[in-house]
Amino acid sequence: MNPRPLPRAATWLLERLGHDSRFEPLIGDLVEQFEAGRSRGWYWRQTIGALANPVRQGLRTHAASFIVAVLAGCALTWLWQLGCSLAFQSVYVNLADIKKHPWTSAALLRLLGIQANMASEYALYFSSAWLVTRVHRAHRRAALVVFAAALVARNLPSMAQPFEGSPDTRIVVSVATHVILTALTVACTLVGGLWVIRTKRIAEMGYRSRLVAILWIAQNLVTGLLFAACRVGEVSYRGSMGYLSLYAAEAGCGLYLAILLWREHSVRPAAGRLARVASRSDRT
Amino acid sequence: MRNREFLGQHELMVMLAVLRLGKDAYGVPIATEIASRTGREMLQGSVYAILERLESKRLITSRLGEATPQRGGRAKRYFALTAEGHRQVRETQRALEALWHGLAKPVGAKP
Repeated sequence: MNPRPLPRAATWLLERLGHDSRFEPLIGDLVEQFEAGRSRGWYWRQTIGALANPVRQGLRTHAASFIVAVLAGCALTWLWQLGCSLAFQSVYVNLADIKKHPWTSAALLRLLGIQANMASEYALYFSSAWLVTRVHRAHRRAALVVFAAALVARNLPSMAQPFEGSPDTRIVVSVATHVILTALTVACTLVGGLWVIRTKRIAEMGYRSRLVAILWIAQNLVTGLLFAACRVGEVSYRGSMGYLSLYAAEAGCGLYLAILLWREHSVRPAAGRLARVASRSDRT
Repeated sequence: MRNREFLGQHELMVMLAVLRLGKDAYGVPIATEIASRTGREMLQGSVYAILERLESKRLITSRLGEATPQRGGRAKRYFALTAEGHRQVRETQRALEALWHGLAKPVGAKP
């Protein structure tokens, strides 16, 4: 009889998101019990429980600072965005004028304003993540994840908005835009926070994370430049799908970088892993 | 009066399970022992969280054991009580016995 396949996604999550020194034997325990006849549902329940444990622990032992950290992050986000919308409001009035007269100083200044507004969004992600991880230091990653979840929750009403109106063929594009932009927000927040927690220096990053980080920054720059080029009319604008795929690639790359940074943060000199390697070589 | 810190309910359960299992105390039998003796099934992750907390308080120690194919080639982590751990368990037991002492009927029984 063939052995049942392990729930690979659950194991992958534990391996990537778990704290290595504890999760290595824990995964072993789960595998052992699964092999002994436990169900896939049981395996998933254990996985979710194990991953949620730091959040639960954080809330139980340092509830006040945990909540304050998340609220401070949300407040900063709200204030920052309010400030930006007031400061850059005039830049977005009659955008068509930029295309009509792209090379006037006024148009270029407005374009610069739009780019500054976009850059300020990225600065916000890093600042809010920094604030959250500063206020709650006991379980910084857990606070960061809850803060990212709070940002998603804040965007949920705008994601649901297209469903309220009459059916429209562009509804998919509209929902996809919100989902992708929310994913991008989450990715930027997680990368910013994990960067603060983990390293603060490029030299301390692993080779793959460094490569993905460079790719991600390049993607951001290209998207920004393309966006500016479309505004002045030098590049033809081919509908929202072009932008969407760019943002989707950015979000995907950012989330992958967040996973890599999370993983690097977890890695300890794990004797368990060495034993695993030894065991594999023994079998072969 | 000396300021004493007693073990929490879950901490005590995990420590007693470790004590009962002796040299075979690793994640799976600890959780099984607690489930079979108390009827309360704990998440494996919670067991490890408690064990880690106890280890940080220097009440237990751990060592990595052998990796087996049944565990996907992953090592077991064995736990044992330290001298301070033994002392804390005894102290908690004494405190609980002192509180139980003199109660004629089981708690909740009708007079």
